[in-house]
Amino acid sequence: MKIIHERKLFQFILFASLSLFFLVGVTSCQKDAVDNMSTKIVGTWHQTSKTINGIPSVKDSTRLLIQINATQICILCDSTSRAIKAKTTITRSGWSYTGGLFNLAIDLPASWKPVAEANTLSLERSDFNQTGGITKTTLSFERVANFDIK
Amino acid sequence: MKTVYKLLILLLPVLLYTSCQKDEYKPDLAVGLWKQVSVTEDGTPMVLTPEQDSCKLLIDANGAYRCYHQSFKTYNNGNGPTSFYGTWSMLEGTWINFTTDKWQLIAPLRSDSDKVVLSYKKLVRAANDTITVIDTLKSVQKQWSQYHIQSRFTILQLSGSDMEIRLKTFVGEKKYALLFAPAPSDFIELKPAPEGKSIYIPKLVTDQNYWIIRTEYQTLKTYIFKFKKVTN
Repeated sequence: MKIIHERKLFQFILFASLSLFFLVGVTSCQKDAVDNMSTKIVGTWHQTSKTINGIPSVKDSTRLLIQINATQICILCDSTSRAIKAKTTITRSGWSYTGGLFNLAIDLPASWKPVAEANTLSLERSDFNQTGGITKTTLSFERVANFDIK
Repeated sequence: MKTVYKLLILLLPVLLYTSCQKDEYKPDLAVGLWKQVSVTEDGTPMVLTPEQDSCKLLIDANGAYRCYHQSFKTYNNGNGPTSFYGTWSMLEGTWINFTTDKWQLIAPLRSDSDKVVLSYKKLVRAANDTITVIDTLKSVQKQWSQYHIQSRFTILQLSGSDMEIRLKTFVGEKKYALLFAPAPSDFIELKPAPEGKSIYIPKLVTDQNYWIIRTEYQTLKTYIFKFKKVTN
């Protein structure tokens, strides 16, 4: 009688454990898809082109070279005559990667949608123009050797 | 019978799991470019000016949003600001929070007469002809205080093409805020523009409109904003 009772108890615990295991399994699978973009974009990048709504434009001199560091600091090299005159050619800005967007503190609230390959990086941002339309600016970069920017 | 019990034990977590899944809206659905199509006040459609009618929202997945409208476009000789920004978040798939610029009425009254305190300036019209006029710029800066605060909207509908959100708030909280496009008649341009500050501010508070505005800050109404998605 006692053995039968224990067997029933064992079966109950077994099925209960199985069902709990199933529940945990289902819920643990509900994670957000993670990409490794925040790793891919780390490096030193040289701007090769700029387009506005797909039309080639003059390169953005405020960031001809950018260095995205793993320490969440981005260094931008500004080669405009104004920056050279004011001796502000190096700008440091915090960065983050959230919601599939590259957020550069100095550019917020605008953020960049990155597409990174081994040696190329393109950053696209959308802004309202004066008439309420959307202007898409794309900066293309190629990877260059890392070096200390001081 | 035993098999039935075993099946029931196995199905129990599935039932529990599915019953816990409420009809919640996913934040991804809010991301994209939205065009405001209508605003109602206590169920009555509001008449929007062309400047308000141009209102668009660009909601980014990183928690920032930008808003476009032409309420202040004529300022600064036609080069007034048209793009504004804040943050957004979704709460429990039921509410959506937007932070926005608002103004609080802080207009002081004279202790002896309950009249609105205004600043004045002398205006020379010609030699020996000087008049005293209200210094609007100085006065409004003492009457309104700007702050950036969160407003919580109830999501009534959110799909790939439509967004309908509801906000119960005081009339003044909606009127004197960038939520989402204010009526141009409720704001004035600051000339000359104060350095590092907005060039727009709610209108001058006088003895004629002081109590009207005070009442607006004490009257609760329900607003429903409808948007149509333009692009993802």
